[in-house]
Amino acid sequence: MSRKFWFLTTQSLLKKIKTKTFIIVNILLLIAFSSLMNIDRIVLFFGGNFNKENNIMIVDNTYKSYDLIKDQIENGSTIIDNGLKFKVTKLDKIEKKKVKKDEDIMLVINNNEENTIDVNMITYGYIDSSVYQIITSSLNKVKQTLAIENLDISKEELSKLNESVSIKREYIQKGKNENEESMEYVLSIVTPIIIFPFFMLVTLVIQMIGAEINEEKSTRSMEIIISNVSAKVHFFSKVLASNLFVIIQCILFIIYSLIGALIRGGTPKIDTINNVGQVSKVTNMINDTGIFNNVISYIPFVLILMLVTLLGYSLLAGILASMTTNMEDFQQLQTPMMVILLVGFYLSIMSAMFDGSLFIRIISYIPFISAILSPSLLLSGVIGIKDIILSTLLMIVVIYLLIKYGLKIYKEGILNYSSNKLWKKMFKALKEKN
Amino acid sequence: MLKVKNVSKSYGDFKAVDNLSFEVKEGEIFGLLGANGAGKTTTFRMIMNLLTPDKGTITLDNKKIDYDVTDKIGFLTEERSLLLKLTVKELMIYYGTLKSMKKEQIEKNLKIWLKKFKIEDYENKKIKELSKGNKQKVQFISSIIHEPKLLILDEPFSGLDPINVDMFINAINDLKEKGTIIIFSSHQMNNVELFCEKLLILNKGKTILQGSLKDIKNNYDERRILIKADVTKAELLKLNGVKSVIIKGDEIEVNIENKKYAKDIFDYVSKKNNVLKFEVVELSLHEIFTKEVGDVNE
Repeated sequence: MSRKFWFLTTQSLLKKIKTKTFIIVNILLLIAFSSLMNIDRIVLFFGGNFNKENNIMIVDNTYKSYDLIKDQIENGSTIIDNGLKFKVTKLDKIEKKKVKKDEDIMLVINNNEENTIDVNMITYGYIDSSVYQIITSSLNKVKQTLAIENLDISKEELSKLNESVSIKREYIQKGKNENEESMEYVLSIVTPIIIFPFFMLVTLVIQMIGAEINEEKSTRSMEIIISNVSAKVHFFSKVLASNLFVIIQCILFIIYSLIGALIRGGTPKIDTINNVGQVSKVTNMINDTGIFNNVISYIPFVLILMLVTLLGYSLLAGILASMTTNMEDFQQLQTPMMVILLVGFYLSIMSAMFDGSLFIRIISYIPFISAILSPSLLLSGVIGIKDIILSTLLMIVVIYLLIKYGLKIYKEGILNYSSNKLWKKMFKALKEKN
Repeated sequence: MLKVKNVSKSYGDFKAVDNLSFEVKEGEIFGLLGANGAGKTTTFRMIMNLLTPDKGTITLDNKKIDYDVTDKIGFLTEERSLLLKLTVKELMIYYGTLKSMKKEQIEKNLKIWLKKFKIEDYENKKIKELSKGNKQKVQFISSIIHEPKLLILDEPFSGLDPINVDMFINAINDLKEKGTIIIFSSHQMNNVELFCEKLLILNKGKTILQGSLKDIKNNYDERRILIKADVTKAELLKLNGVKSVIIKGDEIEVNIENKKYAKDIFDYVSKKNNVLKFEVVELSLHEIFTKEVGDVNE
């Protein structure tokens, strides 16, 4: 029997791997991974104007704002350096003909009744939102400065007022550091990177098992197969083959990333392009948070939870597929599974919003959701390794129940070709003795 | 020998097979007949170990059916069970390995059968690309590639042209000669008459007729008399035991409810002028089947 089990598993696996679709998709994935990791080089290769300078022309009718605005725009700091360049010049009067392209921005500064400033912004078309943000924040600062100046404050005092407050952070709890506090921003970037491949692989495994079982059912080959091997052997061969396929695909993802990194050669070329420079800054920020150190120690636990959950999803998909007679029926029946996956995915992305919430902690234990939600909660420190272990144990209990009761449904389902009274048949199968 | 003894199977309140018993020896072809829903497929599924009987036993060579025994059974399902994306060779290796065969043996047997069915060129062709008749041949080969001890043929001739039917008949007879136990199910009664020495007619799970084809036909009371003589329909209808009279050209077909009336009718007709033909014939299996199954269903 074990020979037949391994034969069915190998055949099922080879059937997936030997397809043209698999080969083409993987070639495309290799290209996509390598390209994404070297996107700056590709952008550079195709050329273009990467040193666009925003030309700010100021008509200062207040006769005191120009220097302040120039200083703010050219030297003012923002939360993230967007790499934008500005050139600020003065005009004596409004000359709209000088606004000839998107980078040309004319600011007409006027005094208003409250002795502060009003600004008329003239542009060629729509302007970049970051540019708009920098200009408005600079103008607001100028307005504040002018208002303070009206209070007869000296330049030195004014400069001190404009200086940022120096904050020194101190933590009672051990092991906390300032860098980790910026985790929320980092998580919003890291979470999809970790979770999305898992989400994709689970979707893949569900679809594969459904398609294969339905193919065998719809062609009635199932009768021949099940007359030679038990339903149990058939079921586990499908589950194992699909899981092996997903693991192989996962390994290929890692290989593609390594190839991408190899092509990159470790040279940080990103800084040469200001417009995509943000990527390197985010990477540095992730490094600073120490997230990678945490990840390495968490990896085995998270991986086990993910593998166990993947197995759970494949078992459930197999059981549901046995109850259907064609792929359309299976698509309908798998919808709740996909909804659970999506709930986990969205909760994971939004996990930073629930910091400190008991609700999100409880949700993170729920089997099928735990593997998607837990990694981000673990990274943000909401849950710990113990919680991951608990989630894994809960998932193992669910797998045990799926095997114990699901197999009964599978045995009944795979030779059933009618959707008539389907649920009744399944409940009846559950009551039957082994 | 295949022994099916007092087997019953129910689906809820519906009794699909009710106390079924029969035996088939090596080299025998057994016809399991019945209208749709009579219980044939359930019986086949029980023999194939796909279903467990509620009552009774099924044995092949005195062994209860398990996965070792099913390795010795070939099953040609009514609805074609082919994995369409595979090539002919891949399918045979797939099904053959499930029957515990070695790859080399599968390839060797496949070549022989492909040649026999004149489809050697299709060995590496995908099944979905084959014609209906060729798919049928591949399906047949897949059920006999492992040289089964017992072969179940559920509607083997559906969709085949007369030339291919002859090819199948020859192949089935060859297997019979080699001692294969064959169970045959078909709605085409002429084919059943051609093959089956023994048969059983099922209706709503119950056995309504069973025995050798010769005995069944012989023991069936109704007869048909073919007459060529100067006698009228009205005259014949007045005679005892006559159920109906049909004029077919210059011949009269008289259906009688019991063979015992044949002598009286002969005596009457023989007195008439121009008696060219008086032949008492047994009913065909098709007629017996229709009458029995129809009668029960009425």
